[in-house]
Amino acid sequence: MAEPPRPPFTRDTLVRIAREQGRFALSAADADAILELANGLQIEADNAARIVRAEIEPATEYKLELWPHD
Amino acid sequence: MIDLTTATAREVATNVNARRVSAVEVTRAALERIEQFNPRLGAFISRNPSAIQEAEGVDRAVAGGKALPLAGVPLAVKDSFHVAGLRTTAGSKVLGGVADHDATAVARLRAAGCVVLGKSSLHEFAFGFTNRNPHFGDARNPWDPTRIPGGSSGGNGIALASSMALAAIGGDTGGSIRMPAALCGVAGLKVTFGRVSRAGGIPLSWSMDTVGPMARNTGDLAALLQVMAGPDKDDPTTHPGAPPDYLKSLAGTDLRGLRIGLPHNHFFENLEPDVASATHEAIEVLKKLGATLVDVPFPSIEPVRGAHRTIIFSEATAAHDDLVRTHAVTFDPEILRLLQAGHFLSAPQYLAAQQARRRIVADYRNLWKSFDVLVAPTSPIAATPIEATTFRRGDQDVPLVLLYLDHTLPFNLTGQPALSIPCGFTREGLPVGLQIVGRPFDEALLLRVGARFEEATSWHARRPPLDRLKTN
Repeated sequence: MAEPPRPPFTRDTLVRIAREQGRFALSAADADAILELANGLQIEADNAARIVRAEIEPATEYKLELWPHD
Repeated sequence: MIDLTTATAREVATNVNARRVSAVEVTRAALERIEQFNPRLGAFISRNPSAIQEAEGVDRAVAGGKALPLAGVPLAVKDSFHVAGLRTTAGSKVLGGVADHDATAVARLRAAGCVVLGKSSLHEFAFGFTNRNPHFGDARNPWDPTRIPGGSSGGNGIALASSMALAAIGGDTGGSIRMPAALCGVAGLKVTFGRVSRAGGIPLSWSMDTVGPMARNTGDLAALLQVMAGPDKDDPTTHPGAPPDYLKSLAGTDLRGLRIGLPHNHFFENLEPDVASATHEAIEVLKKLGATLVDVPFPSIEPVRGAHRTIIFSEATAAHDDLVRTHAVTFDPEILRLLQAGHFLSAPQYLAAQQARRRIVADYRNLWKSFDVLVAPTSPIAATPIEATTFRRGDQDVPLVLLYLDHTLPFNLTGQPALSIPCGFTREGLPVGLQIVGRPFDEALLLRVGARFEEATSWHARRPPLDRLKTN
């Protein structure tokens, strides 16, 4: 069964996350500008995760695997 | 004397080695063209004040009996790679320190005889595809200066098309070599991840960044790659094996036996009409050269784009978090937002994207069993006006970010090599690029296909009309 989409960030949530992380100050005005970007990225991340969600993969250290040259 | 508008990098090297022309003469000619055209086009952020002295060193080495494979070749270096003695800005006012060493790719090309002319312009921190830059000025397409050159290695595309340089070092994380190559009508090679050292470069996305050559034809790309490629102790991601002989691999007369995959869905949907006709004509040329065409149903782009965006935003934020916190007001606000956005992605989302990436690599690996190279337009549209953020398609305004990157970013995610070469022009006189994508570490085959195509066509020899842009 498909997972329900996660709720999008709101402007207030975004400001809170940025400040709680102590990473950077995000004003309400900045939040408006970044809100669309951050929510767009949530959709992109879901699009990527969807193709691996169906299977349980072992937690391996990431390594970019290219196929052997032949 | 060498005419930079028609010469190849290999011809320059041959003539300098034979002492028919000096590296100093070639460098002076290149610097003159920079003087004439750079103010209007914005190819270079800074120039190398020691270029003539470097050229004199090349001439001395040649006079002393040393044969240098790229003797006297005028080189542009994207300003995200260190050149000892010059500032590295990454197109930003946040950086700007003078480098005390060369990036590995720069050092190798210099040792082979290239003369660094200067640092070429880019989108701030290479995080964009237009090469608009509020700090150093917008870069402009030499075929139509009201349009973008493409990015982020846009300065290289301009410098090559307008004959300011004959060789360039670029970087490609989502299309940043191929896009300006296509939009400016030159050649660019995004190499396999691990083929060329990234040491001495400002990172954008550690697991997808690549460094590669740009030139005006595939033969010159082969000559540059021959020098740039190979293991490097300063970059543990480089492949430990010795690279093949790329120049030798150019040999041949046709493409008999080559299987070309044509991904009609995604890559051939919704093309600008002139891009579509140029691409189809190019495919006919490849067919006449003996290649077999194979229809390929290409997997959905959505998870590919999703994984690429999740990874690039997470890694860019991780790479530049300190600068963002300490120099926020100095960034272009648009770039600042991009660099902050990774904070709103979680670790599980990043890891899921990397897992998805492994799946996509495996899918593409299977796909490539039925053909040898994939061929598609590098970009579905030609260069757009500088102020544009969308492209009108039917009754929709499509964001440029979707159009310009969707054809190129899949191969940064999978690490595969991809070549872009000129394959025609729109009715407005704008270049169209053909993308040829291979299996990992199969750059030699891409270069061979490109060389055969260039022998059968003359698109790569066209130059933009620049007289109206002269400043002196």
